[in-house]
Amino acid sequence: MKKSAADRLFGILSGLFVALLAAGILFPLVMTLSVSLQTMNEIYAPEPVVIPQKLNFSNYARAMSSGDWALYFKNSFLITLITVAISLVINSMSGYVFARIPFRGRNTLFMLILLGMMVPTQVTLIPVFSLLRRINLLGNGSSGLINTYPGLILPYIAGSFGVFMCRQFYVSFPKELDDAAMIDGCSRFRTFLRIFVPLSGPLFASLGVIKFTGTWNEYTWPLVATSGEKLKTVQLALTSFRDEGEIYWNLLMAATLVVSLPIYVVFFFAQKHFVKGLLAGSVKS
Amino acid sequence: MKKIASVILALLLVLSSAAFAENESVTLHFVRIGNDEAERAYWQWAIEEFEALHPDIHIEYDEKAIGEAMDTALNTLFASGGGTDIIGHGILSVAQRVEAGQYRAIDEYFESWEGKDDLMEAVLANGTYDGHVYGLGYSVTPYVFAYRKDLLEEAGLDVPTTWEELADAARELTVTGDDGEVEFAGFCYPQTGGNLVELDVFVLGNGGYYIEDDQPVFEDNAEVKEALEFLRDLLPDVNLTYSSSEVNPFVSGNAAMTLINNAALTTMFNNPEYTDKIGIALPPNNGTPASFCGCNMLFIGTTCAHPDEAFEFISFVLSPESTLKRAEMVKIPVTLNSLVEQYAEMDAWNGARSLCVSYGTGMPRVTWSTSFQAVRNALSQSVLFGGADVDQALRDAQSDIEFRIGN
Repeated sequence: MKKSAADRLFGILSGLFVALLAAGILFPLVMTLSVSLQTMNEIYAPEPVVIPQKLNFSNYARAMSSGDWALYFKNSFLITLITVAISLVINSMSGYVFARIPFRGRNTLFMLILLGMMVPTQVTLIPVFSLLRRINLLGNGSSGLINTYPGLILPYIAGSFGVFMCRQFYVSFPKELDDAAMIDGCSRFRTFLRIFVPLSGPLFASLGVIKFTGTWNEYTWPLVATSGEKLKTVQLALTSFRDEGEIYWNLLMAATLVVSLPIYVVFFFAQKHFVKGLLAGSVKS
Repeated sequence: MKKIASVILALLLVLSSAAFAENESVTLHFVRIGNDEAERAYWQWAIEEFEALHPDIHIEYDEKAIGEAMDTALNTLFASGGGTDIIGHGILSVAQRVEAGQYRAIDEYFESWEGKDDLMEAVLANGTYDGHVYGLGYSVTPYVFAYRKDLLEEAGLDVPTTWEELADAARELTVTGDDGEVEFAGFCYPQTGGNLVELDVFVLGNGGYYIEDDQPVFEDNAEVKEALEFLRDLLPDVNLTYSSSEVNPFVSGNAAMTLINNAALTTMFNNPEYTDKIGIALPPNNGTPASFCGCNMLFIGTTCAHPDEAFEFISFVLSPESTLKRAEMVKIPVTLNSLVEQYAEMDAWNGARSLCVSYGTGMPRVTWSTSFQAVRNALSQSVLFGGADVDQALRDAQSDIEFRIGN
C-alpha cells in the first residue's frame, strides 16, 4: 500500500523528534565523557571545552586510586546482588499470592501495601534506623544492625513496587493454568514454583533491572546506616571529589562513568525481557 | 576432677580479666563534615598519633560529604536516640544544634586547656553561643581578595586597599566590547548563589553588620546601605555576573579581581599559566579591615559518655604540632596565633591568608541563620542586579526576616 503524503510527513517528523530526544539524552553523557578526559585548567577555561586537547585517561586512574575503590565496589556488588536475589523471591511470592489466591481482606491488604509506594524514603528513614539499631542479632551492642551488611540489605528486600509489579504480571495468566496444576495434584507452592516461576523471565528481568539500579544508586540509606570506610558504597565514595573550595569535576565524572558501567551491562543483557516485563499486565487477556 | 576444675577456674579468671581490661578502654565515635582525600589522610594521621599516645582510647572515625549529607546523618543519629561523641561541623550548626540539646558546653574544659590563649579570637568566636563555648575551630576557609598582579602592574596600579582604590582599579582594568558590554571584568561579583557572603565582606569592611543583640537589623542600617550603594554604582561598569556555585570568572581568566574562597584558588595557583600572575590580600575596605571566614569546629555531643577523653582528642587535634601538620597536609590556614609566622614561611601568600582569618567573621550564630542567608541573598540580588531602591529593599528585608523568625 502506498503511503500518503501525511503519513510520510508524520514519519519524518517522528524521526526528527526521536533524533532530538536521543540527542538530548546523549548530550549529558557525551559531556560527562568529555569532562572526565579534561584537565582542571580546561574545565576552568574562559570558553567551554568540548573536545579536550589531550585525552587524559590518567584521570580514571587518579579517580580510582583516590580511596579504596575495590572495597567500595565489593560492598556495592554484595549489597545489590543479595538485595536483588532476595527481593525477587519475596516480591514474586507476594505478587503470586495477591494475584492467584483468593482470601478474605486480600484487596484491603493489597491497598495497604500500595500505600507504601506513596511514602517517601525520608519519612521512614529515622523509624527504620531506630528499628535496626534495636535488633542486636550480630552482637554489635547499641548499634544493632547499623553499619552491617544485613542493615544495608534488609530495608530494600521487600518494597511495594515489586509486589505491585509481580501481582500485575501474575494476574494476566489464565485461570486454567491453576486448574490444570490442581488436577495434577500440585500444591499452591508447587504450582508457583513449577508453572509460574518458569514463565516469569520477563518479570524477573525487568524487576531485577529496576531493583539493581535502585539499590546500586541508593545514597541516603548507606549515608546514615554506615560509618567509616568498611561498608562504604560507590555512591558514597563519589562525593569525595569535593573539598572546601573545589569540585574536581574531571575525577568526579571519570568515577561516575566507571560506577555507572554495571548498570549499562545489566541493562544490556536484560533489555530483551525488560520491555516485555514492563508491559506485562497492561493488557487484559 | 580437681585439675579440670582448676583449669576452668583459671580460664574464667583470664576471661574476666580480659573483659575487665576491655571495659577500661574507651571508644569514641567521631563524625566530621567533608570527605576528600587530603582531609582523610590528615585525620588518619591524627587518629593514629593520638591512639599511640592514648592506647586506652579508640577513635571510630566517620566522615560525611559537604552539604546536606552531614546534617541528614546527624539528624538521624540524634533522632534515633544514639547521637555521637565528637562532631566536626560548621558555624551554621552551632545555634540550631545547641538549642536542640545536641552540643555540650565545654567551658570547663576550655578554661583549663593550656592552648586557650593561643587560639585566634575570631576563630574562638565562631564556636561560642549564648556566652558559652561549644566548639573549637580546626579548619578555616577565609574569603580573600584575589587579583591579577600582571594586569595591575601593567596599568601602574597598586593593590587596592580601599573601596575607592578598588573602584578605580576595576574601572581601569575592565574591557568592554563595541556594544558596551563587559568582556573582561575589572572586578567580578556573584549575582546568584547559595550563600552570597561577598556582600558580608563589604558590610563588615564598612564597620557594620546585619545583627545587633541577636536581632536582625536591616532597616535604617547605614553601613549596609552604603555597602549596597557602593556596589550598585560600581558593578554595572566592571562586572561579569556569575553564580557563586559556578566557576568564578577570575579563575577562568575572565576577571582581574574578585573576592573568593581561598581554597577555590588551588587549581589556579597550580596552573603554570597563572602561578606568578596572581596574588591575594585582605579585601579592600572602607575603614574596617574585615573578611568572611568559614570555620569547621570540633564539638562534643551531649550523648557522649566520655567527655574527658573526647576533649583530650580535641586538644590533641588543636595542638600546635597537629595544627601545623594539618596546614602542610591540607593547605588550610592555621588557627593558632603562635604559628602565624611559621605558616607564613611555608608560602608567599600565607601571610595574607592568616590576615583574612584573623579579621574573618563567619555566618551568624543564631537559630534563624538559614532565614538570614535567604533574606541577605534576596537583598543583594534585588538591589545590585534588580534595580530595587536601597531603602525600600532594606525595609522589605527587615519585614521578611521578622516574618520568617516569627514563623
